[in-house]
Amino acid sequence: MRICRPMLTMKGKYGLKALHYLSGIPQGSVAQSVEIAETYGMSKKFLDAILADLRNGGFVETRKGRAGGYRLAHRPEEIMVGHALRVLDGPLAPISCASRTAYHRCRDCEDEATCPVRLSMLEVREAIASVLDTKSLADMRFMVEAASIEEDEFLEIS
Amino acid sequence: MTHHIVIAGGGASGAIMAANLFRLGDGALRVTLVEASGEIGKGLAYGTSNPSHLFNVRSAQLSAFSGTPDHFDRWLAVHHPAFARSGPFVPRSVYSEYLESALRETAPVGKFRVLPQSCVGMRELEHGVEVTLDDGSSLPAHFAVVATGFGLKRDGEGLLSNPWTDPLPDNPGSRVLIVGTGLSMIDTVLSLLDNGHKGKIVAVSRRGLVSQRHALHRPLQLSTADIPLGASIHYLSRWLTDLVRTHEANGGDWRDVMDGMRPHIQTVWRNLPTESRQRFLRHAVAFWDVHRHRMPPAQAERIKTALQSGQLEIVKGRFLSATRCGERLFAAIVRTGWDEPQPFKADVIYDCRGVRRRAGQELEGLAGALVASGAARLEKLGLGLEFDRHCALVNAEGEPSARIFGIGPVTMGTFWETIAVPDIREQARQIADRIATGSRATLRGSVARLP
Repeated sequence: MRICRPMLTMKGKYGLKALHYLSGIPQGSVAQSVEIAETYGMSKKFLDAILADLRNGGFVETRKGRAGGYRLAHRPEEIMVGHALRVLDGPLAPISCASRTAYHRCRDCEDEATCPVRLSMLEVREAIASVLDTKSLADMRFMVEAASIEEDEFLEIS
Repeated sequence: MTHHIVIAGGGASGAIMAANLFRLGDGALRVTLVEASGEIGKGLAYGTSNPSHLFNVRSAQLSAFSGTPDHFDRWLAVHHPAFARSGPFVPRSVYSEYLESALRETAPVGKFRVLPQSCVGMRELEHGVEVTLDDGSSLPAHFAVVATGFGLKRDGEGLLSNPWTDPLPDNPGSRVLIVGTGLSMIDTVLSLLDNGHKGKIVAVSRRGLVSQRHALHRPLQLSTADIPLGASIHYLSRWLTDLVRTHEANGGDWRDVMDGMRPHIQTVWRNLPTESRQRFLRHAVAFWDVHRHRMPPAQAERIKTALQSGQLEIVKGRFLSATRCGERLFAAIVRTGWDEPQPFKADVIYDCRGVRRRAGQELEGLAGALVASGAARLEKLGLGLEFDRHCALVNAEGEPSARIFGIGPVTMGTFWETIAVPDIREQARQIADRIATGSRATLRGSVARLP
């Protein structure tokens, strides 16, 4: 039994990167999992499992055949990072007792209702949701672009 | 400066809106409730006078004010102590009386009036709204609220009788057919039984599902962080059934999960992709409804007895049409699994098909007029008018209005879960806040324009 799990698993991390990649391909085209795996240096087998979960959750679609591959099921503006993350990693919870559906009580827990750590983490959970549920793949792409511009300009000045 | 607010529709939504405006506003306002019947709080849901027609929501959730959750219970204890004792499911007929008293309590003398007319149009102007009435006159207002409910016609369609307005059959032995098996069917059966009906009652719907019964109220504490927002309906429904299964394996009841979802339904609906909403409406809505909108135990017991005795029969099938042959009516019904329609003989046929069958059809009354004039547009699924997240009416160009709002069932397409009192009073609070902010902004605006 997992007592504590990291806030973002490898699956969640790679899943978001794959979605970021798919949000950047031209509309109407598809990407193959091998090119996504190579771009981020991850195992194709692991990525295929991740993409299967995202497909199951209704965030990506597949096209079969020789020209087949993956693409987003909705426009990048409509897919929220937090929504995809719930499908990849389960409930958004910084600690397992702060979730009802992936709930685990700490082994050494004496009183959950008054636990200072849990009460703080419940607030953290709401804060995580409020950030990630309003951040779309398009917003994420914009953040990345903004960050790269800054870097370029910084190089020019120095 | 006193602001004038016009509310179109005087059912529960309109009355709750008015009471919240007075309670939350700064006092400098006048409210006109435009309601053809001239009566307050007696719309589709609460117009009934039959004491067997109960609320299917507990009395503790029926306060007209989000900020004072025990307002209704306190009123009930004073005015209907017997119901308060026998609760928590009380007759719906007391609600219009409660809403009237809530309005008397909050509305200052001379600031509130009911206009016995129909509202037929609204036009947003730069500094106000022009509201047109069916006698051809118009009312100037600073803000307007559309509270026209489900927009269902009051009279029956063709040979079908309206269960809320048409008289019950005189002959207790007559054969009754009810089209629809939802909560209106339950109310109609109870009315017939109260009236001493002895004849056979057949109720028909495509899936033949009947509302489940209420049990103990122990909602599961769910957070939005737990719920897979934005995922497909396929994923969401599997998540929900898995959650029910796990919860039941741990000794819980499925109702706890449904009641735990209750506060999040608007958020889930808002984030549900359009094609998932369509699939939900096509395949799952009947299952959802019978679990979400449950019967109080006392009603469920009477329905069970009627089913067991054979007086009430539920038929799975599709109603096509009704024809008259002499004194009798014949309904053409295709039973599920059959190809050909079968004639069902009846003396009276009640139309209990519910409120959503109109999806995609043209809207009537004020809602239709607003769409025709470009002041409003249909939301994507055609369930009703489109509103923004804060209940502002969205016009044909997709811009939310700063002066026209919507409350209650008329906003169902946008919010889905807006037909019960807890949601309606929350909308009322939001709109009252918006109007208070909007009127302050107008004031600042007019001050700024002074030379």
